[in-house]
Amino acid sequence: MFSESWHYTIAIVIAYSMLILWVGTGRWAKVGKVRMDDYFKVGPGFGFLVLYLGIAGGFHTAFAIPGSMGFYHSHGVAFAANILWTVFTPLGMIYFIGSRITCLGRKFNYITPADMLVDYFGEGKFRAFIAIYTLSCCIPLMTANIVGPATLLSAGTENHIPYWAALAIMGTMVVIYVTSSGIRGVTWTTVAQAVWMFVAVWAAAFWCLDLIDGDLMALFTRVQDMDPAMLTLPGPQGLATPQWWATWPVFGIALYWAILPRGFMFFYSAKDVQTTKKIGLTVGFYLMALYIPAMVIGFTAYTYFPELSGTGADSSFPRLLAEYAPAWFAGIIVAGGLAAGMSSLDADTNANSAMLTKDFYASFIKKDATDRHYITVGRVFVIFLVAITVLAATRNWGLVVLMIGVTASMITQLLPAVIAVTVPMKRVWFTKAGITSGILAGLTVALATRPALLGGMLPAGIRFDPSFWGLVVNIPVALLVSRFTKEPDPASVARIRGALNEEFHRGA
Amino acid sequence: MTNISADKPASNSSHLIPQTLWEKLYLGWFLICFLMVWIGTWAVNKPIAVLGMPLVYVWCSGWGIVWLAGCWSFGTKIAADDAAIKGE
Repeated sequence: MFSESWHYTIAIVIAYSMLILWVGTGRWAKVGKVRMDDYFKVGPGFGFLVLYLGIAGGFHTAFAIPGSMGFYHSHGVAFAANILWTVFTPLGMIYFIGSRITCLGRKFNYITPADMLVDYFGEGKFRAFIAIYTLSCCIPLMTANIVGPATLLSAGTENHIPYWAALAIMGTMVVIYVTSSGIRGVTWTTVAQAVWMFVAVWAAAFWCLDLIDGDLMALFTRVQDMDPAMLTLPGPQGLATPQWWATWPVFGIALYWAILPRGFMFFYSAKDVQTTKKIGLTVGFYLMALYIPAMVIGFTAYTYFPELSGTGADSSFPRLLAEYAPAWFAGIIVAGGLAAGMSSLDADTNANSAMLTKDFYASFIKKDATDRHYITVGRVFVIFLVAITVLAATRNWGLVVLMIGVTASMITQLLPAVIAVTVPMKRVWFTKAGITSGILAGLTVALATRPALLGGMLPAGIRFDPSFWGLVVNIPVALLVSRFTKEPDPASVARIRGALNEEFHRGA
Repeated sequence: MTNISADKPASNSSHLIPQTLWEKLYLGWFLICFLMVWIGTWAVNKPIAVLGMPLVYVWCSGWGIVWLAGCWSFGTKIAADDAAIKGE
């Protein structure tokens, strides 16, 4: 039956696909009520375990498999910067900010990120601005999450599944379970995907150890002999300068990763504040544990294929699998790669569909329709978004690559607005006009300071991450404009503060 | 700017400032461990093997685990305090 090795890979990928479709469309994933607040998010709320694995899987994108291995291949232990964000994001952002988003989301029944911001700053064009701004940087992120796994699937089947067909398979699966079950389908499939990718990465690490005679020290010595720069900062290509190390893990990743729209949807879907807090305290263990074996895999691939460079480094692990792994094992890893990409792609699709439906369609086009109508429209948007993503992934558009690079910088500029709402201070520091001005100024500076533009001309000592430079300008501009513009409605500010006081500052 | 504290002085303290001992310890532990990874790594930036792994990597992941374990411990204390206030 399986006369060729790629037959095994296809068989395992089919098994994985069946499992995901079953999990994503089963009875447990069905929407309880035909309501927007029980389709795009989970009205009654998820408990700890399901949401834990949902967030864990959603946070690890296609960068986990095979991107992280390619990063090791190119930059050696500079990869350790990722450990900084995998701890900072849960303990700083999810625990402190995410739990507050849960509190407000449950109290005031928010569905999209814009719901929360406009409740504080005021309705109107601001909602459209936030939604357009957020959507414009999330679609390239979706594209990034489908390209890597599709390449892996195509290579793993010796191109018997062409790249375009791999894209179509992933896109179709996501459309089926997101339109069927909304965020329930997203979360339940992500639970399965989180478990699969965890097992796949650790199994791959042990297989790599076996490939090099089961000895970490032998691997270390071999890497040291080939290029000792792989074992220290800034890495063989000089990436991890003190300036990069000081800003990229925090400003380039940690601060924005938790306030992506998919993060909001997960926080809104928590059963209560304590659930989000518990996830913040513990999900870092999962996130870190996935990157520890990545070192073994990345270094092993490097010792076998040191000549690969640039984007070729990303193919080092797939090539190692193709040339040395048993076919059935390669199939498990390929499915693990699909799990890593799809677990983020589906969450982004659901969140972006919610924003298009609630922030555009329901706010500006058809205001008084039934929830059933809006959910139907949301499903159409899911198909539309996935179609755009697949189409974008089939083209080698320089614009998409550029947009992926600036996504972090764009989302990070929303941070002052999110903090203004979720972390009450003694005074109201920011207004709607101030926040809008700050975002635009910060984005302009973040774009200008990218290495390909003016960033390359900065003195070496201040070549910080563009997201950092964006915030350095964003915050003062927002504060200055806020001093001279109309404040948020005091009643809204007091209501939101009251909800947060009740949950977080009972002793105050 | 609206000075909210003029209206409701009892409930308008800043949420940025930790209130309880456990919250202060959480923040302190967070900052110490963060600095150990962020800045301390440069002090151990040598191609030395520890348990067969690069020292930089062991340092960062080791402090990462310490960071997680400490904040988890303080976070559970904060949760216990919250539950006590709620009367659970």
